[in-house]
Amino acid sequence: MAKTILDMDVVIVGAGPAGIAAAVTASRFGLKTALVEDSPGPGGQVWQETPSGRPWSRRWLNRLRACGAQVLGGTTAVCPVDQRTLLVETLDDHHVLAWRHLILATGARELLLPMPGWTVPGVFGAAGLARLAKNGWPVAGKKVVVAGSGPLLLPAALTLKRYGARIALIAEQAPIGRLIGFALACMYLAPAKLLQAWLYGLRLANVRYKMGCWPASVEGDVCLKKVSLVHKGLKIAIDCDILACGFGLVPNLELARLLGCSIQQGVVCVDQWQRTSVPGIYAAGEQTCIAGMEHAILSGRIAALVIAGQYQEARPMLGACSRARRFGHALARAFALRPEVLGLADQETIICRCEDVTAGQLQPYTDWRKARLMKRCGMGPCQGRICGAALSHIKAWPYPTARPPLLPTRIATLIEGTMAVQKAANEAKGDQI
Amino acid sequence: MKLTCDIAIVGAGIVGTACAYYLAQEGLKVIVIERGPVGGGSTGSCMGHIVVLHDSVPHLALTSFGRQLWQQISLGLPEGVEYNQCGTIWLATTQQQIQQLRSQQTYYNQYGIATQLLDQDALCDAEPCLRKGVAGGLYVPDDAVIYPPAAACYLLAMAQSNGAMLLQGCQVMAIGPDGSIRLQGNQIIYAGIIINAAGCWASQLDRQLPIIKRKGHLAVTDRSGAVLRHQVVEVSYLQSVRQDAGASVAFNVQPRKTGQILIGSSRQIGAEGTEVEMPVLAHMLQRAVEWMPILANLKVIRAWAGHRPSTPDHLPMIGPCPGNERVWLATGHEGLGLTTSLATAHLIANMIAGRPCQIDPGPYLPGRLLQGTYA
Ligand SMILES: Cc1cc2nc3c(=O)[nH]c(=O)nc-3n(C[C@H](O)[C@H](O)[C@H](O)COP(=O)(O)OP(=O)(O)OC[C@H]3O[C@@H](n4cnc5c(N)ncnc54)[C@H](O)[C@@H]3O)c2cc1C
Ligand SMILES: Cc1cc2nc3c(=O)[nH]c(=O)nc-3n(C[C@H](O)[C@H](O)[C@H](O)COP(=O)(O)OP(=O)(O)OC[C@H]3O[C@@H](n4cnc5c(N)ncnc54)[C@H](O)[C@@H]3O)c2cc1C
Repeated sequence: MAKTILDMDVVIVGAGPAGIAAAVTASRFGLKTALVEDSPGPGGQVWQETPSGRPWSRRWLNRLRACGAQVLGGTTAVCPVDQRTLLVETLDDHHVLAWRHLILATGARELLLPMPGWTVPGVFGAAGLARLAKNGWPVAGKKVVVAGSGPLLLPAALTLKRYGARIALIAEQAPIGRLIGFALACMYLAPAKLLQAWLYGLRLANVRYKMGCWPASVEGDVCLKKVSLVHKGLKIAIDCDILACGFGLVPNLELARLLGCSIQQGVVCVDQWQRTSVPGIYAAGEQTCIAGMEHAILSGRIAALVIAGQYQEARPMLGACSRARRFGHALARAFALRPEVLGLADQETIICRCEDVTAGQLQPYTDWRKARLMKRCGMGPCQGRICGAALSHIKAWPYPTARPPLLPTRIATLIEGTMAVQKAANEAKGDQI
Repeated sequence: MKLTCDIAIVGAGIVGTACAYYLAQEGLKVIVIERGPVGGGSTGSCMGHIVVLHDSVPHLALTSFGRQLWQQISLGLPEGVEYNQCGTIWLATTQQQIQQLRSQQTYYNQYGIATQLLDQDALCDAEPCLRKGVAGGLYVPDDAVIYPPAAACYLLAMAQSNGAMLLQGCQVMAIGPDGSIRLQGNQIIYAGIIINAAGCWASQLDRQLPIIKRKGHLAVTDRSGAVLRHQVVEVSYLQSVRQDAGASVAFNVQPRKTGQILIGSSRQIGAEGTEVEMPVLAHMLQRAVEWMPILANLKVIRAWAGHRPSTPDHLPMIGPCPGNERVWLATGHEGLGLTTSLATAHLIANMIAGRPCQIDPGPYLPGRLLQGTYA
């Protein structure tokens, strides 16, 4: 059965801060707006509605509820059907959204890097585990090593501690020298962030924090038993229950890539008005620059204002947005990954978890195509989301070309969605005659 | 240094690697030249069905010989090649199609190809997920499936163990009637015989070759738990194969060893790129769902498209170019290159050695399509 197409002025993919700010702003000007979000509800990585939801996020979520935008939760953007439509799928249904303007606000995910033992149960993404804890995943009494890189390690550790975990160590791979430089840059670019970090520091006062320290391997069989780390050239072994490990964030670029938006240095290219290289398509938030929540909100608002033609209102925000981006760049420099953490995997370490491909098996290959042809690396259900990000860092392989559908999609969805678009196109032709 | 060899093969698809496989066994000095990954052309995007096709006598002869050769080497194939003799079931819905299956059977019998007619109930037992009420089927038990790029790698590795050499990452810019091959960067290789096995791109090296691209889409499901035991194809697939204009689709599904189902297939002319086209993909999936309703709720994890190298009479070009004994062709295998690769190579090896061939090479000689001489 071909379904009807939902006609929208603005379709936004991703209901994190960037998408929510864009939806609220666009609706203010009477634009018919749909906000598509994979998770059951809006919020993205930081504004999930949890019992401990912060006032700021509650304010934005209330605005979203009041603004009249159509929020499609539990809905995944699967692929475009033609140049002006997007196919989306829910647990048991699907829709076709026709758009005049499309805002991509798909955010970022944590970078996980393969190391010996990393597939043992008990190894989590650091920020991911913090989110799980907020949603009720039990961490109380668990002994946790928080390791990796980036400013999210501290809030993650703090959250875990608040939910009763015992933090054995926080290990940041970046060297202390670079972090001091970063702190100085923050005084100018983002003094509030510095204050926040300091507050985190106070609240984590009795937790061990090591800079220039990184995890090297994980031991355990049915579950994690021990984590080995490297610090000042020495190995430290820590018995623990959980390794919460993240090496920073990588933008979710799959949809942008499929839509043909130009991508450079790992982010979607946008101009100061958040326009991508494809007419009618805008991008906002973490996929344009890993720079945190304020940048996400600003860029989302700017994109929506530009669509509404409200340049007057957008212009004053440009300065703050570009400052936020510079903060992002400083962040990336400070927490740049050292070569050692890119070379943790040994021959037996699994790189592609879907297809069980090890680092040793990938050794003969020099690019994605060969690895995929011969070892099926990245051909499992996650379609290279995890190993793709890892390999682009470890081996500097460019990402493989994106093809529809982006994610495993019901066959019925692909058939009916496409037919709906074809039917509409035929009817439009009929009208013209 | 001047690089010389007895045989230079352009292209390391399934056809080029199969040629290397047999020719290196003869003790000839073989060089294979490939610009990309081994098996990364049409071979890397195809379905890997080893199937006897009765489109015409020459088709039947070449496909059944090809299948027989695969069967012969199957015991030595490494696990990664995933050779699986699952057999084909051809499906018929109308009485007329049943009749068609009967004559197909008679025809196959003459060539000693085992078959078995399935009535409605037998079909139900064989493939429980098919829609009810399919009139009947023809089971061809010796057909098989393989994982094509791994097969190409295996054939090449065997050739290398017999002394063949691979020049990878080298684009051939031109081939000369004197047996010279100019590579990008102007290096020249001299060969006693050049075999153009460049698939869809063979005509870039020789403008007179009448090869066009026929695009095909495929989609693979997740590990679904849906039952599929054989490669299952609707009998009107043959019409789709013969069709010369527009896009057509036919029901063609294949069980993978992983429990996934590979869904085909479409045919299109005049589509240069390998991007996935939603209308074609949807049309193809729709056809599959009509035959196997259970598919509607399975998930596609990946879809892609590739090109078949096709000739005006749908038969490959195998043998020397008319007027030039030093440039040979092994291309134009269209949708059957996997099946017929070993047979092609076997013919070529025998023709080069001046031995009689197992089957008549006449119908495949390039002279039928090329008037001009090479000199
Ligand atoms: C695990 C994690 C934890 C984080 N924790 C913090 C924190 O505590 N503090 C902090 O300041 N920053 C945190 N960040 C950084 C955070 O990403 C940004 O501060 C902010 O959330 C960026 O907003 P955004 O709108 O760009 O992206 P996000 O908040 O990431 O929102 C993007 C949304 O798009 C959705 N989406 C993606 N693809 C599709 C698709 N194809 N179809 C439908 N929906 C899709 C995702 O489900 C997601 O909800 C965290 C990041 C991650 C990955
Ligand atoms: C969707 C689809 C499904 C199919 N299903 C089946 C099936 O089930 N069974 C079956 O038997 N067949 C099937 N086929 C057909 C089969 O894929 C082809 O017939 C076969 O792969 C052709 O092999 P080849 O070696 O001639 O070409 P290719 O595999 O394309 O090899 C040619 C090689 O030459 C290289 N090359 C080209 N030009 C140059 C140059 N100038 N210099 C250096 N190298 C060069 C290319 O990089 C390439 O690797 C299918 C095809 C498609 C598209």
